[in-house]
Amino acid sequence: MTEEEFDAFYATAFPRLAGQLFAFTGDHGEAQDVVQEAFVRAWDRRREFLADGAPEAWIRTVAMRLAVSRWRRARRWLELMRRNPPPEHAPGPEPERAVLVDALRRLPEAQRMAVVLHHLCDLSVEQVASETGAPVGTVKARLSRGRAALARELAPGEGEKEHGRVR
Amino acid sequence: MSDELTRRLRELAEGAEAPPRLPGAGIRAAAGRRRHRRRTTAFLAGGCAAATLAAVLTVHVTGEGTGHGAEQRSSPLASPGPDRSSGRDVPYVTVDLSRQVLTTEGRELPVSLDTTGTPTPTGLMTVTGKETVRLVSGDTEASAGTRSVRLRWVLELAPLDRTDTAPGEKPKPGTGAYIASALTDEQAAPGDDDTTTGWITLRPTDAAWLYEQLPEGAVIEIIARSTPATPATPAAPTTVKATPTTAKVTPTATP
Repeated sequence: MTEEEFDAFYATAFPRLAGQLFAFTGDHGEAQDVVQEAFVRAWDRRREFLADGAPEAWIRTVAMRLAVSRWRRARRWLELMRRNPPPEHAPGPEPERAVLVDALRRLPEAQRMAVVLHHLCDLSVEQVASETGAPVGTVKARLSRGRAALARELAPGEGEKEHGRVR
Repeated sequence: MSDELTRRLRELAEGAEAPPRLPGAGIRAAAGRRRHRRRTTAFLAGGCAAATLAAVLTVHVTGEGTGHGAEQRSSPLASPGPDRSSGRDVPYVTVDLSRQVLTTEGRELPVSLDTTGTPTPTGLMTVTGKETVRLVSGDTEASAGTRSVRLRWVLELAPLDRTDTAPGEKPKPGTGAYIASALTDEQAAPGDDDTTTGWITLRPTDAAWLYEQLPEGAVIEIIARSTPATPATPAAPTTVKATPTTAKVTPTATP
């Protein structure tokens, strides 16, 4: 991949990936940070990056892992953030989107990743399993629980809820 | 819910799409800088255990002799200099005069420093010039004015906090300290029993290594002793005397 090809790929894929990572992180700055960092790593590991055959998926995977890694390093801070989400400095989401962002933030990390990869990035359950290193059954369970939790948040009354637990 | 969820997620992601904050060239440059740092770290991890000898220096280098026959790698004026407009001068290297240690990348290198009467300049400095060899002539006890001394791995520094340098202006070369290799291969001198007249000298292998690590514009913080001997003086090398095993380098006024 030449410099020009990389630059063109970067310019094209960055916005899309930033949007996807926003769905995963719930934070514009964080999403852009991790995507940018993933591109830095991609240029440094061009052979690995190209050998993968799906450069955009490679970037997304790296960016998601970076986001997870950051969260784990700052778990206490994250807990605080979950309870008190920061105000959006970027163009504020519309009310409906704000609800979705908030609902996604409340999902456990593994469920959120499964939901975003499957429902937003169009990965099959098997691909999500491969991507996340979890068994297919586990991914299915995460998707099911994630969808149920989101349904409760997004359409109160429709969630599968029983004594506060998902069936 | 699945289709509806997919639709809403896509809307959310599309609404959050953002253009890159850096151009592609910036990304590639960042990757290059990181690769350089990684190589440095790998080198350090491998260890540079071969400590060559160091020396007790007693050279006196004359200002007018400096630069003769030297291999000038680049002009100090061509150096990019640090970005002072950002307000962030992060030390890349620190030299602790109290401990006689130069620290960088987690590595501590013993250094020779000043005597009481000829202090090493202190403060935040930047590399303004590099020379693999600087041939200097000066007076020695044996042959006044005729002796030539080859200084190796010379890093010329200029202070960053001078009031006569405007923000964004390149620091004036030759107005700070110098770092170089010790002049002999005698062991144990840097950091131990030798002194210079203001230069910071390292064991030859350390000096060569540091020379390779530091580009022009790198920032070095020279930390003063708790009770500095005298105020720092802009330095240029001046030879006073030299013997095969001892040398002293004195900073004097800028040429």
